Amino acid sequence: MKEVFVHGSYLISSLGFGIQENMDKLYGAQSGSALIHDHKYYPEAFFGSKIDHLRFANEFENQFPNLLTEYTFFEKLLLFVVQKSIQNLHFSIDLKNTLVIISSTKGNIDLLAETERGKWENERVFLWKSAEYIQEFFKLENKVLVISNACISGVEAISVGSRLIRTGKFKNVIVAGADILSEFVVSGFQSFQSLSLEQCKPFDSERSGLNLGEAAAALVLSCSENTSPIQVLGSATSNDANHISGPSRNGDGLFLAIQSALDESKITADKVDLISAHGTATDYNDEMESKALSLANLESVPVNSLKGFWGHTLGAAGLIESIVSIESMKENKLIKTLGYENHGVSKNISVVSQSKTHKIDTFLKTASGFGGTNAAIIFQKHKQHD
Amino acid sequence: MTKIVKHIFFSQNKLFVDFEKQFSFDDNLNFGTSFKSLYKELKLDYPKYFKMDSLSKLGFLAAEVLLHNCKLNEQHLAEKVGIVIGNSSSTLLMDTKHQETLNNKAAYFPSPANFVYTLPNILTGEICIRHKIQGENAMFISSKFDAEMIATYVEILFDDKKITACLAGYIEINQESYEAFLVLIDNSNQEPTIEKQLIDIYSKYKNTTNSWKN
Repeated sequence: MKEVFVHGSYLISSLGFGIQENMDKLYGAQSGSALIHDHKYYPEAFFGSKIDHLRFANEFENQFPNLLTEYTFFEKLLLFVVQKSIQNLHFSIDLKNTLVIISSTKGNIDLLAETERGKWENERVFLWKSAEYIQEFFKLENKVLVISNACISGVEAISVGSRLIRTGKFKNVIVAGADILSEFVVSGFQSFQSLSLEQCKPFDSERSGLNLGEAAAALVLSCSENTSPIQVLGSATSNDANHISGPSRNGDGLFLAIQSALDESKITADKVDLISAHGTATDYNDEMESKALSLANLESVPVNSLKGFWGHTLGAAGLIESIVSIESMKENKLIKTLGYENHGVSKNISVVSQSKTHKIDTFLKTASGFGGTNAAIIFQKHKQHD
Repeated sequence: MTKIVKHIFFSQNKLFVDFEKQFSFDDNLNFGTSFKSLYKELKLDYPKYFKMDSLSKLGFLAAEVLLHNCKLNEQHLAEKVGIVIGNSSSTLLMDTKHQETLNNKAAYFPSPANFVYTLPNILTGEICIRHKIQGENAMFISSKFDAEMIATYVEILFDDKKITACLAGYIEINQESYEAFLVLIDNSNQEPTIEKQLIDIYSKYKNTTNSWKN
């Protein structure tokens, strides 16, 4: 069995472009969420987190001249983050035999809108079509793999990539995830009445729903160490087998995934220094998570949710939150749970309310989603870097 | 250590179990009618079925036939049963329906009952609820059935001892056609690789259905 190391990464969120910009705002407690008045997304104003589209167009044009109109916004985000993550590597990888995994819930779904009709070929709305364009662009020999498992897609994509490396199927895997704001998704969550009218408040007693966001990120995994200080130790997914649109009431599904990931990592709960939770700020999700963490004996471990910074970015969420938690671990610095003031879940979990220095050698990232899915993955500082 | 112990294939209104034709509905019936007929033939009483979108219905029915008399829950722990499914069009049929509720701004009525079915993994969720499956679950999107990927991943899950049984296959529905290929794999026997088993079984089904077109 091979070890799996985490290498270059890149992300774009409503907070900004690249690791540094995002980390500065996360430590500085600045939110990227705001009231959005744009009929393109919804007839009424809603609270959400949007990427700076103008800036993205400029940066994309600089990176890939004269291709702006060749690709959709979703595809451009993926192309850009993959390219940047490769540039951020400390070694060169042979792209030909690298596997790229895309994680997304809805991909090019904005193309279904009447205003987009006839602009692109019909097949363009399929996720595998986006995958083909990415494969063609980077001249990859391997078919690009697409994972679409609701809100665990990002964590699961890292999990699948790690497993494929560990068993020797691939030497390098680039995990790229993205989801964009669209009327399709905003109206859907509105119809569920799960959107908050203000900045979301994960784990808070006054929490009133989630904020939607858009983001894209890429992360390179490899079997070669090459100065990487971070490893993927273990991971798991599970299903509540309870309800398709609401999480389990007792947290047993997420607990199963956490326990399986800990077992595979050969560590016990007391070795975990940070939990990067899903923390969408809906009543049911946050309550369920507190119960799952309690079942796993993780109540005393610092836990944060980053949704107050950039909203729920669906298929990108697990990926961007893993990437910044890896940075947080490298710097031994906890990021606070923006929006959290008064404890509002039944279990006494240790929600991080202030960003501060804290020794982090191992962290757990979790995610849960529609369809009753849960995922957990454990990252650790490589021993030689203690 | 793994073996495909049972398989089903449902397409063009014909349903096979282990290569034996079990149900056949008139070629001219649309999929909605043939799904309804199959539901009746199976003598099911599962009100939630009627809320499902067509992708979930197809996956649900396929799993129902596959797991009939299988005693999955007696032989395996819920958290040790996995489900790994491939699909091509995601939930395009329901996506289109949801989008239609947005197009007319004067009659704007997006519905949560539709929206929840705009994720392909809801079909795996429905199967998990019905059969109490709590293990590893994955939904891969590819232009057509990718036996290699599904097999590779399922083998890893078995090798890692994450699972002792797995539902795997390809569930696809779009405007033109539908296809459900679902297999039950367990760790009961030494056999050729899952990929070889999947390809052999799938191509035999495809050869059968292709011959109808001639």
